[in-house]
Amino acid sequence: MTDAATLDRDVRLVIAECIRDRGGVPSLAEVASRAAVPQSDAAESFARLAAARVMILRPGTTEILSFNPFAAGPTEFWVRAGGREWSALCAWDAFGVAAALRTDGVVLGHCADVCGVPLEVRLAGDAIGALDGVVMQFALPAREWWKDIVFT
Amino acid sequence: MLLFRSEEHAGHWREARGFAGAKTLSLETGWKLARAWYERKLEPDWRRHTVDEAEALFAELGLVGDFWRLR
Repeated sequence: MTDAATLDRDVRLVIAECIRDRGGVPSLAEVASRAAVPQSDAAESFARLAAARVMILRPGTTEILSFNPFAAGPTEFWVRAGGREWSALCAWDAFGVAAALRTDGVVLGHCADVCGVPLEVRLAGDAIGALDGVVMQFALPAREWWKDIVFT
Repeated sequence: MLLFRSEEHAGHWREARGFAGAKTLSLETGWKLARAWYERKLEPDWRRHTVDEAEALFAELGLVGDFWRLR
């Protein structure tokens, strides 16, 4: 019988493998299948991984909202990296997609102020290409980020 | 974390939304932060940063002060 820590590691690696292999965050069913465990065991592992802030679940479900920095569905931030398109919950995560894939990337978002102007940020090694003056902003202090991580 | 066209737009959003204490950072710092935070996320030996490590990383990037404290 697999202990919880080993299962959680296996599940984490399966999720990472899905992201690398097919460019997407997997469903609970896919993870259970790939890890060759019952869905109930995978669901318990998902809950532990979410509690440990390894990932975020969709509220009230056992499906992944974001295996940070990789979001599971459409968001306000798109990233082109590694020959694929990705989504992310926030600008930090959008940059993080390219970082986790260890490749260059293009982040597509928009100004969060009323102007809503589209913004593109090109990440290439240490170089960044964007309109002059574009900035990121954290609304909440660091100790409060996980009180409402989706808002953060 | 959100993107803004300029510091002025970020400031307008802060005031309109009631987040007077919000902090901006440059894209360069954000990219360094993202790389340090996430570059090992898909690796088998990945683990979360400890609080000490995270605060040290913030400090290394010049992100200091009460806003960046984790406890």
